[in-house]
Amino acid sequence: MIMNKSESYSGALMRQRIFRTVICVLFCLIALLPFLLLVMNATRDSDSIKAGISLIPSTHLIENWKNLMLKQNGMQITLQKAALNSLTITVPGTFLSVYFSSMTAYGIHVYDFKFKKLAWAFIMAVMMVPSQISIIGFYRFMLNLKLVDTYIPLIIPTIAAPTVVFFMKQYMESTLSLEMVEAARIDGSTELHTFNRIIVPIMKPAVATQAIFQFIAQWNNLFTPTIMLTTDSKKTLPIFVQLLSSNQFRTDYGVVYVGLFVTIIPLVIVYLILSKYIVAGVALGGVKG
Amino acid sequence: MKKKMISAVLTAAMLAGMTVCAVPVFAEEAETPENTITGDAASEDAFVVWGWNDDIKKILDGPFKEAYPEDYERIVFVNTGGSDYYQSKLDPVLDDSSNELYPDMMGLEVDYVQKYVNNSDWVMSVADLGITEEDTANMYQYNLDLGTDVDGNVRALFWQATPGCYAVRADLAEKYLGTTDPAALAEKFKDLDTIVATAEEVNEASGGKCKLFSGYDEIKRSLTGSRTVGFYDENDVITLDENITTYLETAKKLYDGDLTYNTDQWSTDWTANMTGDGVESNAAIAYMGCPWFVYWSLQDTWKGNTILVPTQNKCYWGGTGLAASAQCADTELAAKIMKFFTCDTEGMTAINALNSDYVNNTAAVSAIIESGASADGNGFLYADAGQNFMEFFLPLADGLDASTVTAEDQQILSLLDTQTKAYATGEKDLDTAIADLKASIHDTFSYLSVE
Amino acid sequence: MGKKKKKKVSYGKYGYFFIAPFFITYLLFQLWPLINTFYYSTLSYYKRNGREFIEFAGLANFANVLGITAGERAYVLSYLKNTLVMWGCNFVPQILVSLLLAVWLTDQKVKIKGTGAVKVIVYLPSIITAASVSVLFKALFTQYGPITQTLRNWGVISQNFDFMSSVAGSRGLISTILWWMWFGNTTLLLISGVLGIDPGLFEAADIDGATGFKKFQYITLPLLKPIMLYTLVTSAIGGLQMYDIPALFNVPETGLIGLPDDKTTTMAMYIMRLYNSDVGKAAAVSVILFAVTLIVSLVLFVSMGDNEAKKLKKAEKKARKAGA
Repeated sequence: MIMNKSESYSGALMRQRIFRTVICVLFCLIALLPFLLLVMNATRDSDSIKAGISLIPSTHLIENWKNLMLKQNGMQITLQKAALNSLTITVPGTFLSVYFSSMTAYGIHVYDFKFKKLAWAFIMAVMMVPSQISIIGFYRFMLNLKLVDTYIPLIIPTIAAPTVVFFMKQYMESTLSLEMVEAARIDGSTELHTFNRIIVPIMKPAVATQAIFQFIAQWNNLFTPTIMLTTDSKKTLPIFVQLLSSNQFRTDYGVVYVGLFVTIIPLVIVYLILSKYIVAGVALGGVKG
Repeated sequence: MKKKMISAVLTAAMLAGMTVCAVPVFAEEAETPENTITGDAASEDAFVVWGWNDDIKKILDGPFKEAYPEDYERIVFVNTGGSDYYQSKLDPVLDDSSNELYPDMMGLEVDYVQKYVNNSDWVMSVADLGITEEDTANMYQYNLDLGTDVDGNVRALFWQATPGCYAVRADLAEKYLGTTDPAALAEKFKDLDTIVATAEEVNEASGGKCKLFSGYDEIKRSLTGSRTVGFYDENDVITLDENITTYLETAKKLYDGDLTYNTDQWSTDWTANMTGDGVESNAAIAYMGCPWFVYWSLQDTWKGNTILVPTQNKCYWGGTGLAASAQCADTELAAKIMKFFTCDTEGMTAINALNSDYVNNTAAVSAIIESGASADGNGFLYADAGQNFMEFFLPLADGLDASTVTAEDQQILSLLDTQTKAYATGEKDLDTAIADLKASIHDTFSYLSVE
Repeated sequence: MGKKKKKKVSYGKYGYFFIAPFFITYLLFQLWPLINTFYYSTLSYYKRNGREFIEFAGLANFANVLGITAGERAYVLSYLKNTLVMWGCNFVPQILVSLLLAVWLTDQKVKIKGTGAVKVIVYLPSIITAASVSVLFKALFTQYGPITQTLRNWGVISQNFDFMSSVAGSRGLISTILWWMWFGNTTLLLISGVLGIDPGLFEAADIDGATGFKKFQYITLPLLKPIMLYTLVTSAIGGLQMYDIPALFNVPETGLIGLPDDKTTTMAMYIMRLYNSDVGKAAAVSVILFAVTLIVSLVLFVSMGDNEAKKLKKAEKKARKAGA
């Protein structure tokens, strides 16, 4: 009797487990399906893409790629140039935001000064203020400084990243003891030296996580570069993607998909390699857009 | 763990780097010229000319160089690469005459030329360059109007005339309209009601596999380009010509009858319909066209397969002009170039020989027709129809009217598209569409008012 | 003693040195532009034929865009509505699906295999460039695009149905893209919330013989409320700024008009449309967007009460900390 009950109980459990697994797999498929369609369509020619969806790959990948190269031939901005431009902005931008955010968090965490509480309250308050809101003033300001159409308005402001400061401070509270700082002082280390040589290495896991998220966020940014950059040859990858959907490229579907393919798939690969760290870091309020 | 992470980051960076590096390896012939400025802008007597593609440069490199080799050496050509952002690049430089690349002369397209000619801080009047009415006597009046500001000063001159037409695909016309005779086909396009009837005929004959037009917007140019009332009056009050209402109504008829594929001009599907066979794949018989459209935009399917038909209302489509900037460093050379491009009969005959342009000079056109040049429209015309490319456009270019054009036309016409689609698909009624159009014009240009 | 005190004071000033870069940058590139934006919103400042016309206008820009002035349309309100509709249609299914997945993936009783893989896969869409995602979906769902054709062939939609000229179709697809991009992110956030719940509570409930749903109703849901609220607030603020996806999805090449019939135009697209041609109006729209953002976050915080707000702060901290 008891045996029976527990048998039916574990049976129900098994059914439940299968049911839930099926649903989870289904959502995974939903998450992956657009990527699959993208990859498949990138290998098909324009006519068969038009005929409908298919999950069977074809052989036109190289041909589509060559067509894309031909199409962008003579254009001021090419895929490779746009990717290079994006890197030129994103790499220093990521470095500045992570370095100076750690520095700010350190300043507030370690030192006692008059406006410490106020400074922290300010950072908390502006954390939620989106930057789009001040774009009009920002654009006119950059126009007056003759900085429009340069990368400076896209790189320098990353020094002030409130969310990264917030995260770094949380991390310091759990890992950083003030004794360490004191010890460094006794050894005659200057304050900046202590920060650079002792604190930053300790913060490595947090720095890496935030660097990944900052990199993704800046790499994907479309709004500000659209306003700031007017010369075609300076434009970034998301703006190039916008061109992919414009008339210059639209005459061939294969070209559009192969263009999207090379903007998306590298990100997917990098993500899969770093997924362990990214997934762990998500709850830290990384890249919500 | 940390080490693992760092190595992971490094791998990622390497992969990203490889992707970037791998791209040029694949690229082969796709090296894009980094520098599109031709000539030395720093030299003292540099004469800077701006354009959004190589059209102007080709003429400078060809016939102009031949005629004035010494002046040619001084020309610095700035190619902005594509017309999409031409204005946003040109405008800041026009405000800054100390810039090395400040243009002495610039190319301007019909769609926005009025914005420039109405700004005397930017563009010089051609009278100040010493170009007289006598020089411009052979031009089409509508082109002169396009380059004239609100006070009547001519500031830009055009070298192309661009009368509108419908380009008809001969093989499909034979199959579904039963004729390739230009006169019989012209009869099928003689007015809007007939065009709708023709569209029905094609639709029935082909069982919906072939349509007369790819989208209802093929009739847009012929209606918006033949308006007698501009988009606003002298008091900046928004006004809409009857043709706008006619366009909305006809578009709806075509939509409701399922008589087109409802594509947008220049879209992928629009292009695809150009090459379809009308049996297996969708195809359109006719496209709105003009001289440059025929030899620039039609696909190879149309080679030796195109019959030209006049639009039901006379209209023009596009065209490129030249203007000298207000701070032009050498007005003499500016005048020389402008005259060569837009006034000089021999120069313009040479331009036609170079690229088949239907030039903005009646004397040159007559000479070209007489010589028999460009007769087959770069090989696009259907030989059996016996049409002559230049001769066909001759009457159509006469009596065109551009007096209604304003600086805001390009954007207003785009706003019109939005309302046309909303009305055609049954989203709203005609009055609402008209009211919404006016409201959106006012929203975009706050200095224009709705009554 | 005195010496020690002195030492401490002298170190304190380094604090200013360390926080200076942040504050200088923030004041210069964020706060000053924001103040300027407020200032510009009081000007009639537009371009005509490339020339600028500037004069003081008071609150006229606000009265105009809000449709208070006679003859003006309340474009801001219709674009705000577009934004909220598209955001809302993505958020509700997003939170429901995420809740379901979060509970299942953390369930200790009905253990599912491969939860790590599920987390990795569902999060994947949210790191992809929104611009690319938008263009991809556009290519798939365009008038004669492959998915549209396939749905027609299967008879799911009628032969002449076109997502791009249907208001519901276009908005629905934009919401779908947003949902697809962000449901994984929300799932991971909620998972960290569920993991933060004291496991003893579930054990006690098990002993009392509570069913799975009862546990969800009486333990998981109430304790998840703060983190769900945090998700709601961040998602709403992000949603109000919505730009990348609608701006690339169904717009004509000549301007940022969210087709069909301006029904997918968002506030940020409106700002982008005007930023160069009508500075005053664009600034006014920005200020309104700022106000709405502020109100949304305040209403949510206040409606929870003081106590709840504190819990939220805690949840936020916890959420951000969980991965560290």
